[in-house]
Amino acid sequence: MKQEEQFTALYNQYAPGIRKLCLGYTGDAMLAEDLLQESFVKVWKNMDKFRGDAAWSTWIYRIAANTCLTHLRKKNEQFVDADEERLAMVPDDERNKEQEVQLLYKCISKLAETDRLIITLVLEDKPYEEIAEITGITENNLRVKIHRIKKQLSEIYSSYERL
Amino acid sequence: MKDFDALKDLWQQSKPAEQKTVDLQAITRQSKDTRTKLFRQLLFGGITLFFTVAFITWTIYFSNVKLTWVVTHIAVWIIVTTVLLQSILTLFTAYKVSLIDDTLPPAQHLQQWEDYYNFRKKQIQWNKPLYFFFLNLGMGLYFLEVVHGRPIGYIILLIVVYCGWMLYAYFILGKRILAKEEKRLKGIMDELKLIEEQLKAAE
Repeated sequence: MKQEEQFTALYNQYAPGIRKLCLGYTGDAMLAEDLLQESFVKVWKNMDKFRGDAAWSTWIYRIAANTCLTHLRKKNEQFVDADEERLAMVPDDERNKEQEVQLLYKCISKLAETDRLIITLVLEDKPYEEIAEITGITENNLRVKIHRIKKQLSEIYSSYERL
Repeated sequence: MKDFDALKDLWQQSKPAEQKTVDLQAITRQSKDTRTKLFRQLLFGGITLFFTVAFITWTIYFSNVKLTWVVTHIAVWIIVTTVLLQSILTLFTAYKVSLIDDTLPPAQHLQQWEDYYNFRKKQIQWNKPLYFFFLNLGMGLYFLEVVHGRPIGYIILLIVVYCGWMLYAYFILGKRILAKEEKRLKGIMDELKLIEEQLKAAE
């Protein structure tokens, strides 16, 4: 398969997940789109380095994780509170769900940077082994972290719900 | 408290903005990360210095400029060698930046940035004064023939303009450029250290 074809197939397969990861990390749709684009620029540039030691998904998520983390220097903490314009276009019955999702993104963006990445991978149902490989954290350490982050996220979400 | 599984269901049902079709040309064109910016900046600097060497060599040996003093030829060689070595060093630094691997696990990726920062810091410490010294040594010797037999007013003006420019370049312009680079790298380092701590923290 030609590199272009392979890249397009990888993009189509993994872009939705990476977009969510970036969205969970930033809590901002525009910024997430930039990070998604930047991640795939790196995927494209580094494709010749991929030797199959890890799965494509692990490799691509790792690049996206690095991209999100190094993005910190220009981070903008301002979260676009439940993008009104976007919500206005959503039918009423879906609006509540959309608001809940926006709230979830907001809550995730309140976590520590590495915790945001870990929890978005958990929410994506990635196996612990793969999350450990992507983040470079040992599996045991990861289990402890995930337990703590889950609890923390649920608490943050509930505190916002009560408001 | 909302159950985590409920949050997971919510996450998995969410549909973030529509999937755009991939624009391969845009992907290959676009590159706005710090590493690429640094790399391009250094590559451009290295190539510019290399062309400066070529230009000086052409001017002295292939144009109408005729230099007769031996000391002037030595001066030109000092300048050419200094600028050429600086060009090689700049290109080597660009190469070091290009080695930063985005595909490694985050902790190792961050470590690479830290290594680059330390390398660059040490390099600037010895490189900047040495480059300045040899470049000016060469220029000083070169001016000996250029100003020979010229009116004293011309010589003084040349010395004042040249020294003024060099002092400005070394103490203001150079410092400003390096401070900007250091600020950018330091900014990354500080953030990365914070991330590393988070990655290491078990609890």
